Amino acid sequence: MVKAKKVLIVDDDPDIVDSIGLILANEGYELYDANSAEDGLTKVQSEHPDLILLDIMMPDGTEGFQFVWRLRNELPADVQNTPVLVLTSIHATTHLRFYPDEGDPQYAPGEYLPVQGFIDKPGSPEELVAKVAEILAESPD
Amino acid sequence: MRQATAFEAELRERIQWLCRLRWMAIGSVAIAAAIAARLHLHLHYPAIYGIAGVLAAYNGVCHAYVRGASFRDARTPQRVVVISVNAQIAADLLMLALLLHFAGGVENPLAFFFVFHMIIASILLSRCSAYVHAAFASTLWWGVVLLEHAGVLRHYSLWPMAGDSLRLESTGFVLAAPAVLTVTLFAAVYLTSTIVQRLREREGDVGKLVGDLRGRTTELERATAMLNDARRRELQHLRKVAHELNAPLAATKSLIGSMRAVFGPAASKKQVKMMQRAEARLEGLIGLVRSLLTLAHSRDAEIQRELQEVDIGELVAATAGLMRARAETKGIAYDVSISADLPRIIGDAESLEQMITNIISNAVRYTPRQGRVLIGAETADGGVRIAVSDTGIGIAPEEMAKVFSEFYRSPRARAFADTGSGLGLTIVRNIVQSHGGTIDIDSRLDKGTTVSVTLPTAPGPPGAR
Repeated sequence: MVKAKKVLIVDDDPDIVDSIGLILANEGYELYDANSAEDGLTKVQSEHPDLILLDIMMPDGTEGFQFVWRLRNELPADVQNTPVLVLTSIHATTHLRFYPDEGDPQYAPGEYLPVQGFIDKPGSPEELVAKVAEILAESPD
Repeated sequence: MRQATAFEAELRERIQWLCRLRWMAIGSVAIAAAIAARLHLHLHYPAIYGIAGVLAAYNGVCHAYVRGASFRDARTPQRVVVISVNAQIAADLLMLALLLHFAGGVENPLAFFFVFHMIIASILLSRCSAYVHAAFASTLWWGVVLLEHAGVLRHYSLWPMAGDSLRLESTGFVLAAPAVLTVTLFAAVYLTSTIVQRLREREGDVGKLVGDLRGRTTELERATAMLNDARRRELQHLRKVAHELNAPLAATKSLIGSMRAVFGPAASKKQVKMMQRAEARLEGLIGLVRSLLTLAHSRDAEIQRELQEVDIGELVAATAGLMRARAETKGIAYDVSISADLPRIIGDAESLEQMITNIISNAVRYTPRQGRVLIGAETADGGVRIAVSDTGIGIAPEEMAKVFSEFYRSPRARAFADTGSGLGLTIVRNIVQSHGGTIDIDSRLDKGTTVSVTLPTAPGPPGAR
């Protein structure tokens, strides 16, 4: 029996946490959640998740970024490279680009922000499940 | 006080003109004297040339001074300038009187040249000063004529054959000629200064009008700035509201979606259907909010454009690529044809991408399954033409004018596709306009639609159709 993969959801909106949690739990993932960047960084170190789902805009717009930079630069080596999938509604609404366009042959999601992928909030449950599986498959165990 | 300054500046210019006139007068004196000598007139030539010399000397001094820096850049006070003009004219009158004395006195018809000085005085100086000069000239002339008549001054006759005293014996003439001249001088001052005064009044009116206009322009600029400011704040507010709408909508859709995905298999078909319908409505709402935000962004972009060089060919290709999947889901044949060597366009890449996305999105949305969508970009009129053709439901002629209106969706569009905010083409038009381009729609009902956007390589002023 393959050990269940752990997913940490970092989002201050409990509805998002619960609904995403429901979908992923249904797929067999072990769920943890945090409602702030601080809480998230603590849980990363205590639970060692295999993937982090991060809301980039909670609640004022910079907390998400702070989380990523601190994760990659300040946390211990064994959790520093935990894959991060960013949940964002900014991308579509204010045209902020975190990465070159997907059609670009040089597209690499982590190029500007060191994360493994972006997904619009709310994506469909099917999209979410597929993306999570994709990232977990790519990352080394 | 603006009136006074214009007049003052004019006075300084006119003095240079006066100096130039005086050179011409001196020249004429020399020529006239030469002619008189030829005609064997017994005039006092040394005196005449001497006076011409004096005129030349002080004109030289005046002219040099007037060209000098301290005079031109108004360091000389106005009072001094006016005094100098008065002095020059007075001196000219004196010189003319002397010249005439040595060249025939009352016989010389050139006495009427005093009128020129009256005209000049009326133009350059106040009415009062001009009358004073008229009085001075009259006095000088009466003086010369009467003194010659009385024998105190020698008379140099113009008429060689007649001898020195011919005209002087006619007392009537001796009194009449200067009298007529006096009247002429005062009349000249009156006429000229009246005209000049009217002119100055008109100038004053014009000056005031210009001042008013300047004031109005400043007011207008201020009003425009305020309007732009208000608009910007409105857009910020709109954006804030849209953001705040976004989060709860996203949360709701997420909840319902997850219910559908997880409990769906265990639930009845009816329950699943209801959840799907809720999800779909939410999807529509979220799309609407996003369109509103894009509209606000594009309007905002009009106010402050971030212009850069855009590789439009690549942008069209990339955007078309992103939309391909959607077309293929409907079985729509999707062709992209971009000319090589498309010029670069100065514009805002974000909004241009949005524009292209909206046009293609419409094409795909309103084309039935197994239809066709063609996307092309080529050079046209020194700029670039982007055309998207589809084999979709088309737009009726009576709808054509309305398709750009905000939130407008034609009844046929509504019947064909559930989703659609009605803002797509509004946003497109805003972006096209702010890039100084034009948009054309060619459509036939149930045959298809072609949307062409022509963009110049540089936007030029915003708002140009």
